[in-house]
This record gives sequence, C-alpha cells and structure tokens, in this order.
Amino acid sequence: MMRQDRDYEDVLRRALAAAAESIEPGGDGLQRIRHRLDSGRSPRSAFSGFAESLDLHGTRLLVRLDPLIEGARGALRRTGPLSRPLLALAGFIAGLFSQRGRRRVGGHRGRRGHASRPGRLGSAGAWLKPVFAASAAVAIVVVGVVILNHETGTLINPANNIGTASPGSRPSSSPTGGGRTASSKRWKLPLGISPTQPFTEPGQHGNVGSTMPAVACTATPKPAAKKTAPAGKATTTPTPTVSGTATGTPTPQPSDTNIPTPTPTNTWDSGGTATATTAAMSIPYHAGAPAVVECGTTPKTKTTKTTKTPTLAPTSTQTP
Amino acid sequence: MTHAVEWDADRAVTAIYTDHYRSLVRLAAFLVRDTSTAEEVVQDSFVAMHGAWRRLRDTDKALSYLRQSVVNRSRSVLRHRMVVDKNTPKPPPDMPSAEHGAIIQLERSAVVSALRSLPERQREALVLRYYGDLSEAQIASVMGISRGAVKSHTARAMSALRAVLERDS
Repeated sequence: MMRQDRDYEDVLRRALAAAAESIEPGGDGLQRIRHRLDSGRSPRSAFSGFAESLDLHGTRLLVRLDPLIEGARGALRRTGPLSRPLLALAGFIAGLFSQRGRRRVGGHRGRRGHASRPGRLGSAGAWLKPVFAASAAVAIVVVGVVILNHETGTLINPANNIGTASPGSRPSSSPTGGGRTASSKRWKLPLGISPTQPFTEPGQHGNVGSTMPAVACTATPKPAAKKTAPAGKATTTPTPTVSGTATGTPTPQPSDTNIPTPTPTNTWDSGGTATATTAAMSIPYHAGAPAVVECGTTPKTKTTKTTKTPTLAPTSTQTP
Repeated sequence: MTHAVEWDADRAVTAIYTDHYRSLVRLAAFLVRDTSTAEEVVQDSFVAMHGAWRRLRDTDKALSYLRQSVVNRSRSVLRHRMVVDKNTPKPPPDMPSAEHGAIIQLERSAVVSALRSLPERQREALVLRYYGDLSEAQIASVMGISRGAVKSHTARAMSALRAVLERDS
C-alpha cells in the first residue's frame, strides 16, 4: 500500500512536471509588471513631487519674506505687550525659516540621508512644515499690515489729535461752557495757548484784562447751529464775528460749522475757560453780549465760508 | 527613505521575477487552468509584493508572500469564473471557448485531467506538494489552513486521483 502510494506520488510528480514544461509564460511579464507598478505609482509620485515642490517654493517664499517678517516683528514690538503671542509666533517662524534656509543654502544638497531625516512632525508630516510656515508667515504679515495701517492712520490723521469727533462721541457741554478740555486725550491746543489763559481783547472796550465770554468749541461733525439754534430765532444783538484763517497746522478752523451758535441755555461763563480756540479766531467783545459759542470743527470740510458773519442772537433774556 | 524602499522593491521584483516567475505562472496555471489568466494572477501578485516590500524586506518572505498571493488570487479567479459560468449561456458545442486552447495543453496528461476533477482545496494541496515541492508547513501557510488539514486534503486528493486513474486505465 505504501509502495503503491509512492508510485502514485512519483507518477503525479512526473506528470505535473511534464505538464508544467508545456506551459511557457510570455516574455513581457516584467514589462507588464513594471507598467502596472508605474501606473499605480503615478498618483503617489505626483503627490510626492507636489510636496517637494511645495517645500522648495515655501522655502524660497520665506527667504523673500524675511525682511517683511522682520518689519512685522518690529511693528508688533512697538504695539506693546498685547502683541507678545504674535511676537513669539513671528520668532518661531523666523527661526524655522533660518534653520531651513541654512539647511537649504548651506550646502547639504544631495545628501540623501540628510534629506530623508524626519523632522519634528515625522516623516509623514515633513511636507506640512512649509505649508504651516507659509500660512503662519502670511498671517503675521496680514496682522502686521493691519497694525501698521492702524498706527499710520492714527499718526497721520490730524483729526484724531484735534478733535474730530465721531457722531457718537459728541461731548456734552459742561456747565462752564467747555466741551472737551485741554487735558483731554485727543484734544490739543495749538502752540502758544495755554488752557487756562484768559482770553482778552485789550483795547476794544478799554477793558483790559476782562475776560471774554466763554467760547465752547465742541467738536461736531455737523453744523451745530442747525440743531441748537433755529435760524428764525436768531434776531438780536450779540454778533460774534468769526474771521477764521486757515493755518497750516491742523487746528480747528472756522468753517461752516464754526458759526457761533448760542446754546439754548445762554449761560455766561466769565471764567475764561476757552478750551479750544485758534489764535486766528477773534470774537469781538460786545459789552453784555453773551457769546457762548459752540464751534464745531470738521477739519475735512473746506473753509470756503469762513468770512461769514452770522448774526445770531439768543432769544432768551441775557443777564450776565 | 521611501526612495530606498522603492528601489529595494524594484530590485526584489526583478530578482524574484528572474528566478521564480515561470514556476509561479505554472503553479497558477495548474490552479486556474489558463495560462494567460495565470500570468495575470502572478503579475498582480508581483505588484502586491512590491507594495508590501516595506513590510517584507526579505526574498524568502517575498517568495512565500507571492505563493500565498497566487493561491488566493487563483481562488478568486475560480470563484469569479464559477459565478460567470452560472450566469452566461453555454456556448454551442462546435464553438470552442477562449480558454479551450490553454486547457488542452494541460489535459494532455491523464494525470492532469484527473487533477482537474478534484476539489479545489485538494488540487491546491497536491499541486503545492508535488509540483511546488513545499513542505506541509509551507503548504499550510500558503493555503491558510493547519498542517492536519493539509495532510487530510493531500490524502483525500491522492485517493481520489488514484481512483480516477485506475478507473480510466
């Protein structure tokens, strides 16, 4: 039985060998395999090529953005302590860039082992580094540009220093007739005028040293006269003449909005608290003429009607 | 790193192709009974081995992987062929099928024709044992069964083959 089995095994082995000899595969098997490998490898190779080009271009972009990054860092440093996280991020990006740039430029090209060494993100995430760096750099540049724009707008815009008030920030008149005082943050007097200097008109009435009625110049974007004093009621005597001349400095210039308007209260303020006026503004003093003048100042409006002499008079009784 | 692995895989594919491609095609041809299908099966196995080279990194492991892949893919081919044969109308007797020429080559021998009549697992066991000269452990690994199952399949296959050959003779 065992011998018979062995005979069958030998017969089977010889028969299989003889049958296999008749099977001859085609000679282009290796080409087919390589073709299949290439067709399956093409998406992967395209992705790896894209990642490598992204890495290279990201590094070049960072090299070109280096001065910009430094400028942004300086701007961020000027903005104060709130920008510390952004500064840290900028430092990280700059450090990353400098390391990468040194590695790129420093002559390690062609070293296979060095190029294939995985970074902090690992070998799989190595291509993420330039993407992250580029996006972070763009974000920093955008933030820096925004901050720079804000700063330059603050420095250049004279209205910010002179009292351009937004419609929502109209100062309310104080009982002393003053709107914003000189000690206000955004309200600066021109040179030569002290906040407490009494405003005198020597020689008009021989009343040297007498104080002028208070001139409350409040910053109003719209002509305040239209709101506070209807034109129909301005009938009588106090005639403050506003002769404004435009100066080079960003000073509150008399304009349409500089029309003296009597306030509804018509209060007198003899304390000489002229809070903001120009040296060129002269208001003739008429005895007993109360002139609580509200000078709205809009620096952007042209001073074409500065020589107007509006005749305004409060309708109420005026008792100094 | 990836380039190095791919380079090694390419080299391994070339080396194993040179040494074992023909035998693998013949093994697959015994299983699927079609030379062109056997070639496709072996080429697919080579592609799969190339993709798995990072895990293999050894020629012996790669050859074992190839054999196992060939057997599994041959099973898939036969399974697919069974489904196709069930759902397609049978050709007229005077019109030979496309596989007819390849099958004729294998049926030249009575032993091979008797082998065709065996169940799939028994045929695999016999081909791997007597054509591939694999041990029981290797056959068990390739077929994904235990050594006892290999012994059982081989013994049953031999008795069935003997019965067929004695009947024909």
